[in-house]
Amino acid sequence: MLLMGITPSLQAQDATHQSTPASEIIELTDGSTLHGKAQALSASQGLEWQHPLARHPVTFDLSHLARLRLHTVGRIEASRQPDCRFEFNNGDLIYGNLLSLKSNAVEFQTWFGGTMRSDRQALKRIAFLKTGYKVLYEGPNNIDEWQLGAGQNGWSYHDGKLKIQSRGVIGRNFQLKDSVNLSFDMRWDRPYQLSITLFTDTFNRFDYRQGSYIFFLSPQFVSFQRVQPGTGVLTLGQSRIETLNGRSEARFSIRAHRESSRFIVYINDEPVGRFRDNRGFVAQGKGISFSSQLSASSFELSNLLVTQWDGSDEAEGEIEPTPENDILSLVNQDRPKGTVVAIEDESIEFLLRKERAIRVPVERVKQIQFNSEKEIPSPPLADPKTIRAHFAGGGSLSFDLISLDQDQLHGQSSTFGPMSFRSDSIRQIEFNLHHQALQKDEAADAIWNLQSKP
Amino acid sequence: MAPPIEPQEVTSPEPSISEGPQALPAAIVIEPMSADTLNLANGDVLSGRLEQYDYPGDTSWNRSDIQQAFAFNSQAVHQIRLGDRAKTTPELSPSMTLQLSNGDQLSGIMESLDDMVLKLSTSFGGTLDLPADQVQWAVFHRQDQSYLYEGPSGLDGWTVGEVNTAQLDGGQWAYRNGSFYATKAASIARMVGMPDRMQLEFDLEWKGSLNIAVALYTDYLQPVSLAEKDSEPDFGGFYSLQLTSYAVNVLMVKQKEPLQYLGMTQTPVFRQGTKAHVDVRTNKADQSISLLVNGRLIKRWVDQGGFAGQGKGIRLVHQGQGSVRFSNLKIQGWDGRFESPPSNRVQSPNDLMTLRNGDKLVGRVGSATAEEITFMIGETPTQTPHNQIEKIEWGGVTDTLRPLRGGEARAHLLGGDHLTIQLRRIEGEHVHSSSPLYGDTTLQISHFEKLDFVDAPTTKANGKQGAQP
Repeated sequence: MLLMGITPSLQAQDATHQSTPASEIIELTDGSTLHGKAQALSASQGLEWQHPLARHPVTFDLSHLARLRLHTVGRIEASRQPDCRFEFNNGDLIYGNLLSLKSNAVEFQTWFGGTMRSDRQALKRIAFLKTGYKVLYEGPNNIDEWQLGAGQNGWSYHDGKLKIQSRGVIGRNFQLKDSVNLSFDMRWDRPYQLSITLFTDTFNRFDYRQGSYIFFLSPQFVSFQRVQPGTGVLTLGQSRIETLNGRSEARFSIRAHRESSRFIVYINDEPVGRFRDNRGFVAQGKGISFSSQLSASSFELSNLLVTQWDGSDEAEGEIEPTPENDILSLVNQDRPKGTVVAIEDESIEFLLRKERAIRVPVERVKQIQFNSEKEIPSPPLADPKTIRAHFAGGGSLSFDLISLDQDQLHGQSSTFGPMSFRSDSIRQIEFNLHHQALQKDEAADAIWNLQSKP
Repeated sequence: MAPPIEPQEVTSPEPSISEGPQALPAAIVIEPMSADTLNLANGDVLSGRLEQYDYPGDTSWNRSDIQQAFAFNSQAVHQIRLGDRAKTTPELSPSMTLQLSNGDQLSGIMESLDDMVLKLSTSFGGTLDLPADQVQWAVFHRQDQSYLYEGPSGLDGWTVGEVNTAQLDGGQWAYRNGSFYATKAASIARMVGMPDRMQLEFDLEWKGSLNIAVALYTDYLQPVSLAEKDSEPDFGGFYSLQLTSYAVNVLMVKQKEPLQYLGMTQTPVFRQGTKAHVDVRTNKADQSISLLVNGRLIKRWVDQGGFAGQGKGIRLVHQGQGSVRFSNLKIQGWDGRFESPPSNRVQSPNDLMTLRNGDKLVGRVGSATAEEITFMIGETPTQTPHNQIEKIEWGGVTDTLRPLRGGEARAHLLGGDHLTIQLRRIEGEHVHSSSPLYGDTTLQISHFEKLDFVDAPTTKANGKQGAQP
């Protein structure tokens, strides 16, 4: 456990990211939020926290910690981009590169933890990402990396969030090419009208002189429009949203794919709208803009992640696991059942219907759903030392905390055994995973006092 | 392309809410909240317990999950909200509320008044000697006044309705420190013996959208699904006063009869503000319901079909949007007269005394005892008992309200009073302070709701404009 702060110095994620020293933020289970610096963190000693306005550090035990947000983080640095998404039965999700899979073990390479191994039975699914997993942006990190609309503009940046309480446009170049998966958390306390323009080169206003695609989001609807010079604006579809009734926050994922001209909107991991431009993909720009349409809006965007998208729709490919069989999802839509014997050298050894051994090139497989016969039960989450680490670029792992120091996060996982990660790869750590951050009805005035407005 | 610009201005009916138990199950009774909340200069918020405050010096702040209390420089403290504390001094029943030149409002019992000093006996600070020449107005509480209800002071006597619909994430009103709070759709109701002519007042504070319905003259303590009202258990007619960010409306609700909106209006207070003092006046004889917000008449509705309210209860329904705080509910009989809120007569050389019978006397306030006021009309003194006076507005008292300076705090008391003090120390139950108006005082922290050390940004739509004691 170390001192001097646990945030490592890193190269900025983006050339436009001017590194003002962002403080870390600790959130407590009662809604308290404190800026400062973690001086030490361990399962045995708790969290030693130096608040910038306090005379001396204070040590919290782990029982009331909800989240530690580490702002300065590294980025995926690997000899090759991750090409697999590994989903585990306990909810863990990792982007990495498959090294091998055998009857009892899977081995893969990650940028943040090197080579990792787990019991095969802990694995729920492997998705093979044919264009790789490339992170284009992760933030927001400050307001300077964004281009604001001229005139009165209500957008502002605070603590990793873009906030607005009126109208305004904000955007930036993400170097988009042929696909995008834009995901973000949104929190609102008034009705909102948010329009998101994809593949635009105009970031500070609506621009109908160049091709782009616009998604209009409100709590009740999502609608989708194509903007094409000379042709005008055409609504390509609209979907009613039922899932946001009575809610004030959600995670959105908006995806576009040039080759297939497909567009999908996910809310809280559920698809709410699938669209297609039958005329083909018309947009050429490289950026995205966000526009608030209501003067009485009040919402915030956080945890923006912009990646490439390989065009696969995991909801379409969702396969109910069976106790007996592994199921391959092939690119030709076939779904043979059987047993995955091994994966090596870009080839899957597969026992079709447990009778006939075949070899399937990995490039022909979109995903493997593993059988649930010997599913390993998830460890209890009530132990305060059980944490979930969220990594830069996506993915998370839950395990028992040992300690966090300047270079490494050390833990013990029932899935992976002892493990250590680069601490600069971690965006945030969740604590007390079983805890509803706030039991609103049982602490109404705590909510009232502590609830931060967007 | 024309993206939508503004949301439609719609009122929401009471939510579809299903039947529930008649009383609050014991398992979910909510204990008083003991946590205090600290707001710091950098925007951080920390719950816990205020141990000690010194200015100049440090604020010591403790929690159960830390080994050693925080020590913050008190200059970095922007606000302290105080949780429930046991009151160690007897509660007085104030006979008046007054405003001083710096904007402070205090309630208490007038012991005496002379040329120099107004002695005011208070619950929170004992007897205060106030400079008589700094009093701008005083509103006298009716001595014969008996509130049919005054609170809330807990959940006792209230029926917590069960909210359980597919459309709304249901919750419950929670009681804390003199207020009801709801962050989800919730219903709470009680019988209060609403008279034929009634004045019903309360304070509202909200975050996000405001969307509540107040059922008047209901005989049914559970929330009603308006869409399925005819299949609900039998209930008598009532009025639903609907207060939202975008509209204000009164809805007449009777079983076997169509819902009837009596007319929509708006107030910028609900659209732009975050708090309001709501005052509802009803008169069965002329079938009217009047709404005053922050002392201003917003609308008077008349039900041409006759007065529909058949019960004597109130039901408060959070409609599922925003967070709402509901406090200082007072229900009393009403004489049918709309009084004007007190004002500051800076330009006038004379004082104005308004009596309960509507008479207005212009002159100078002379002196006062605990029983009566001597008012000079020219050279002629007149003695008037306190209980015959509605209000006194002193002439020529200049406003001295100014932003807070270092170490000063705006202390907000439970019940709505507030005073400005130079805060030197808080230790245990005592607040040690000084003030040009009050001198050196020791106040009881158990009567405090919060301490603001910086001025909050204000909007024109916010706040009370004139007391409505």
